[in-house]
Amino acid sequence: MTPETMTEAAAYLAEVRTALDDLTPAERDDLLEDLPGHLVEILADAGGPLAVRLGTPQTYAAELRASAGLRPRGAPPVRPHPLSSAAGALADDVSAWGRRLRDAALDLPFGPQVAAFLPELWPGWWVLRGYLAVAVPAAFGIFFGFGVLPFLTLFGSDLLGAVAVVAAVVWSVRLGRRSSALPVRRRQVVATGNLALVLLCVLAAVSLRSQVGYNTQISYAAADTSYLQGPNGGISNIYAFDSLGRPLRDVQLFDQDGRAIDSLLLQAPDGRYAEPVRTLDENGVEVGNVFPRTLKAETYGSEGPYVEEVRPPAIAPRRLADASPSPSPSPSASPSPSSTASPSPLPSGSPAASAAPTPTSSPAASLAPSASPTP
Amino acid sequence: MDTTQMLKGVLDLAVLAVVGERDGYGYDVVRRLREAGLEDVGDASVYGTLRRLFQAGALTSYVVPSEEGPHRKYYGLNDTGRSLLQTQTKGWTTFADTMTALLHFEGERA
Repeated sequence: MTPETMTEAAAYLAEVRTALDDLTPAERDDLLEDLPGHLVEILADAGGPLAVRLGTPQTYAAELRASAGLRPRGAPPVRPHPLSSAAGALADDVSAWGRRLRDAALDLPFGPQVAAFLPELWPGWWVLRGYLAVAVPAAFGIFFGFGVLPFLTLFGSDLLGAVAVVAAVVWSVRLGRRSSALPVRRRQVVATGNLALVLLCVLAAVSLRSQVGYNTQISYAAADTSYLQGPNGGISNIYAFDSLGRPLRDVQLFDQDGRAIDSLLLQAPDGRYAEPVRTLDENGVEVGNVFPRTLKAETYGSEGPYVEEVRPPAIAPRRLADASPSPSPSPSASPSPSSTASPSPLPSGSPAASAAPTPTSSPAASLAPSASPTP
Repeated sequence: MDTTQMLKGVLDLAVLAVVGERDGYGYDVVRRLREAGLEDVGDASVYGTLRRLFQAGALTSYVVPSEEGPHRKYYGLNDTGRSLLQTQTKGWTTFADTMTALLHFEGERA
């Protein structure tokens, strides 16, 4: 290269650089990176001034930036959103870290063989990714849910859920096949999405596991029942009424085998734990099958916890056909000292509660103990 | 015939094809394009296209040191670039076939 050609090259380069001075330094240096070498090559070929062979520096600069996809001179620069440029920087860092990781992994024993095998697994990952894209929201209960595993539901519908899973798998596979042809930034977005999905799966698995554990405990406790059960669940109390619909108190109940019915659910209707007030017989021995029981449950009020009696439900007993008053209707007729003879209000929903408790004009009416039913 | 307009549309594909055949540095790619018959292709356009394809992640680049002059930066295709070349070739072939059929239909013998 002669000094003249070097000067010519330098001059041309300087003028092209000037024509690009509205770009950022990064953009400009990137564009001009190959130009010095290019000018040298051309001048080595010999064949006239650069301006003839390449066009004027200004024309060259315009053509160069246009084909490089940059804005023409005079157009305002596109200011990148700070969030997107921060995201881009982060993505670059993650990519660099990923590359280092991959290089390190290749150095491990069997690294290259494993690396050669991994591409075979990509389609499987794509299918799994599609399924996970639906399963992760299902685990968190967002729109999707779990049906009979492995099927998922969408808004409660099995059919919609199946359609959603198929659509997600198809989308994931197509994305996977296209990934290698995407520009760098898009690929980084996909890779970030994959990573995020895997993290969410781990999160969902942890959260599900604790839920299942809880349910298992509860169901175990629920299975450990030896209390009286009815068709609607456990029974915690029994309210008895006579043939006229009048409430009976201090009734002792026995089952078909003559056993006292005393294993009842220790729970108020609202689910609070409740305990019955003890009833004693004439010898001071506790009697467990006296009904209705008085249940006391702990309640939390504005001043703290206190114990309150569980209120009886609204009951509507009926007057039976051929009704005759029961031989021992009133609580005061009971000879045994009972601590349940409390002045607590009887079921107010009972229409018969207002009926006069005095038995009259009934042929079988008799307060004689001999008329009472034999146990 | 002035092919500049048509060339603008397919320069990417032409550059990918040349680099795909053999890695090349900027001026080398320009020369090979001209030798292939695309005489109107401009140096700046080729260089700009190479930069753009590189930014898009379709090309790899490496520098080969040289004693005589400045080091040469070579460009080659990576997986993305090969995939892109394949896609664009398919697109071009389809387009060319369509045009050919259209011209036949208009009565001109090929």
